[in-house]
Amino acid sequence: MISDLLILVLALAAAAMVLAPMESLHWWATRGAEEIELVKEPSAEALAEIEQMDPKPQRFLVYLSGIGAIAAKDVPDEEFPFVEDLRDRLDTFQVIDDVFPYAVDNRGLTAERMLGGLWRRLETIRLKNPNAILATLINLRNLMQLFVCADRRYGPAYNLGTAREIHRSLVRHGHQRGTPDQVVLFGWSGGGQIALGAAWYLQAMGLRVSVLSMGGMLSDDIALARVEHLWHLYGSKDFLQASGKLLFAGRWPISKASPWNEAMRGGKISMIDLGPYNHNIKEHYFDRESTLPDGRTYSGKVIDTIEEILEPDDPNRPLTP
Amino acid sequence: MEQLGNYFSALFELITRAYRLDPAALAWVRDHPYSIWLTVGVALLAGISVMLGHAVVLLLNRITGWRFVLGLLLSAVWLVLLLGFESVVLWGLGSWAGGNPVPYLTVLSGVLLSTAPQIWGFLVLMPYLGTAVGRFLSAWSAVVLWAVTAGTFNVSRWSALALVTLSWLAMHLLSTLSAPWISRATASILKRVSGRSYWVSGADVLSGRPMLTEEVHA
Repeated sequence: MISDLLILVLALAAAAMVLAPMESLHWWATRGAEEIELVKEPSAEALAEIEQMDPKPQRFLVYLSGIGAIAAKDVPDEEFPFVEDLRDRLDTFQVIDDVFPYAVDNRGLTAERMLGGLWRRLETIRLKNPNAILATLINLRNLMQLFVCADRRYGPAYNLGTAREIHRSLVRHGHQRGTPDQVVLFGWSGGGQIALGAAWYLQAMGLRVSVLSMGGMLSDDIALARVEHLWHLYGSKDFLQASGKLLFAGRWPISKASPWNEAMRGGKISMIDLGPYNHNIKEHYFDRESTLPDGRTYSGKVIDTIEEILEPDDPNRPLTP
Repeated sequence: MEQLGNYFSALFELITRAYRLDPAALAWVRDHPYSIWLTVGVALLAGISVMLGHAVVLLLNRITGWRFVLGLLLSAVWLVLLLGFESVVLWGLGSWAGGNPVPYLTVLSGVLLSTAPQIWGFLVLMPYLGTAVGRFLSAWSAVVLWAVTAGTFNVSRWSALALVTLSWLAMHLLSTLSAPWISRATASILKRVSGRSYWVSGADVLSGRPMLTEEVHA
């Protein structure tokens, strides 16, 4: 009986994994490629006009939620005050949080989609009990999209979609095409890998891109060759972020020529140990109640660290070390 | 209907024998009333599973309808040719090494049977893990072929390993050397019948080469 159940669970998991890339592939095959082709490059006149105006490059921080997100604005409660803290503290950055990183077209799980009904039901269950086991299906679904993003075969189509949605959001928030604005993609948990994947294309669009990962499960993404810098904030008790080191072969020390190890050698990656943080049980990155020996809350220290990185006291200090 | 049931029952038995690396699997096939049709059945199941992966490549190229079917057919024919080539090389080398002539159909049966692990070939579609799964299935297929080759040519286990390695290398050499020509010919045929070029080649997708890069404007 138990073995039958195990086989059933394994079969369902395999089926879900095999089907995971289909959404982005379908998007690419039916709309994505055309939509990308339809977007015009800024004309030479428009670029000349921008140059004449000599606008000060803007700074954006795009927050990409973790695998618990249902839509861009439907994320676990603890994330809202954290994003507000980022807005309050980062004076020179516009903080954007309207991109859902686990769909190539920014459609939340509860939007009109084939399994929309299922996700809506799970959302209701999670609202009643945030720790409900069934609600972890949302995390599993999004986790699989993380693997789609990291896959060298599917990643290009997926990352093109998310990069496009991020770019659209930047334009909505005042970015002018052609201006070399500075963008920090801030990915929490699975959002870290999505940020890395999208960075490749955003840099190709003329933006200066850096990635800030918080407890991110990061792969040896080729985008590491294009990002200005990657800061990886992690907790010593966060085993989920640490699993990236084991799971992605390109991060093994033996893979000398992998994008990750090349970026490490080039000083492009800063690994920042925050202390004894868990991934998402008590004393985690968003925890506003537990305090550290220095009196700061767990969340407070993270915000302080991000501010130190992005807005150091010395205004002349460049963003990248 | 009963015959169909018997056939599938025997097919399932053969697949199980292949997975158990049963060296007598081919003798069992030879004595079975359905004979080589059983190994053809194994290869067909494996082919359908592997073709799912190719279907994704075509989908990425936005090839649908009858062009999609044509693309799949071309891929299937190419796979059959490669297996045929491998079986001929193995037959030639094995007959020479074993010193006694073995019917070609027996060797072909062995090569077809060795595709049994590829029945799980659709798992290659799994994101990130798929590539590793693909390599594992290839290695497993080689081990199945090794298991049945020793008995086929009546040679030692290590001689059989050498024969399988050589024929596998020959097949991969042919595949690698001819891949650019095949891609070009396929692209040309598809362009002729569809009127537009491949935008992203299957090789680009499968190798993970970044597509579009500098040309992207969002």
